[in-house]
Amino acid sequence: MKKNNRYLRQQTLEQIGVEGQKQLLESRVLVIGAGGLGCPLLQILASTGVGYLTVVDFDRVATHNLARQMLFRNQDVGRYKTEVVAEYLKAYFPDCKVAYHTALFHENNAAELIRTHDVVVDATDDINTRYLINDYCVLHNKPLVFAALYKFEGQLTVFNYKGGPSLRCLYPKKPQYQEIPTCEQSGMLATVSSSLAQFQATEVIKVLLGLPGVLSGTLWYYDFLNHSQRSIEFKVNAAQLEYVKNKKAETEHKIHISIEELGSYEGYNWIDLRSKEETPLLPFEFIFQLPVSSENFLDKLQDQCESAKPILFFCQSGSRAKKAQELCLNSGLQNSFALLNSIEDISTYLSTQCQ
Amino acid sequence: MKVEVRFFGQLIDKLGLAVYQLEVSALKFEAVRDALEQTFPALKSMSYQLAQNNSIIEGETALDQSVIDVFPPFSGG
Repeated sequence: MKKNNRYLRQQTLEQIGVEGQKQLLESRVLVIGAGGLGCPLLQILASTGVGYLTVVDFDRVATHNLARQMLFRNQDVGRYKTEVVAEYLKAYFPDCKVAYHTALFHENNAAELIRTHDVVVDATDDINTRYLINDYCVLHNKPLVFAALYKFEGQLTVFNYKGGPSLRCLYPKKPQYQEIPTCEQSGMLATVSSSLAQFQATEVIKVLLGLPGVLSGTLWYYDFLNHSQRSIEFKVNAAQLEYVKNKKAETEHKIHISIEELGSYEGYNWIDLRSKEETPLLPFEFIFQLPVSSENFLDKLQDQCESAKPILFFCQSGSRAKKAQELCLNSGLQNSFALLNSIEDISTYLSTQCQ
Repeated sequence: MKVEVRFFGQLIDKLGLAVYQLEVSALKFEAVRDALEQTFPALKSMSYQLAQNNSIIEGETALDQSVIDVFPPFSGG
């Protein structure tokens, strides 16, 4: 073993060895979310020599991210997280080939992303996305390393591992809108998110190398304040797996749409969620401008929309559209979709359609 | 009889406590769940699992008087 081998200490472990290290270099890991869990996890996985990392995140770096998403610097504020992560990892870990998708993870890109990787990591902060990731991992038979936090408490498990149970086996009832407070509402400490991310990354390595003790069928819970912990066993729920495999779960997820799926543009209530200063302008008379931050947003929406047609939300890149759609979904409002295309593509589409 | 119930995650904040001595009619899953939801009606609409002795409690699980854990899904990241 060469002294200038950066993985020398890892290879010394009998559980890894030269062969295991080689395997890591050939492994493909999909990491969804480049936030409080994702940043430290991506850093440490690249550091251990995972050969192919794909990062998915739609968001830009914000100042309040910097305390715990340590791959980002002051000068990165405003940039896409995926681009900054890719630059950082390439600079520090040249063995790691990094691909990235600056996009929401949704049912239009899920299958292709999941299919082409060995292990999937859920480092998101949104419960609907977590169920979506799980369902596609079940459908495509991929192990899913899941970690989630609330303040000082963490949960960690590996779903869909060698016939093991899935997220819906553990929590068959999907939480409703606002049932789980967001990180913005509840807060997050960097040491807690980073710590859980390290445990999550270790599970990824264990799954990749087939090491013993993978947390399959076991939910590990830890409280970083009082150090209480649990290792709770749970089983496969065959009915829940059937629900996903028979594609019945898909209808839960069909809330995002792209231009190709629209059919006639006239079949929708078009809602522009951007503020009046944002460009390009889309001066079509059938578009109603209702910034998502408007007071009494839902009331104004109901007043405006014809109930016979589904509501179609759009914005600059799709993220506000997704939030508005979720708001509708959980308020029991009529059928609504988030149009995920960029504003430039939407503008081109409508200009063509309305000639 | 009473069993100690422990709440985790956002349930502690939503219900305002972490530990509760729950009066149950029987040491069976449905009796515990019904007693919980009667005492804490907010739980009826929420997603959570019950566990005892490090195992998820299902319909026929034999229960004893050890602590019952109430786990909601977490989603933060």
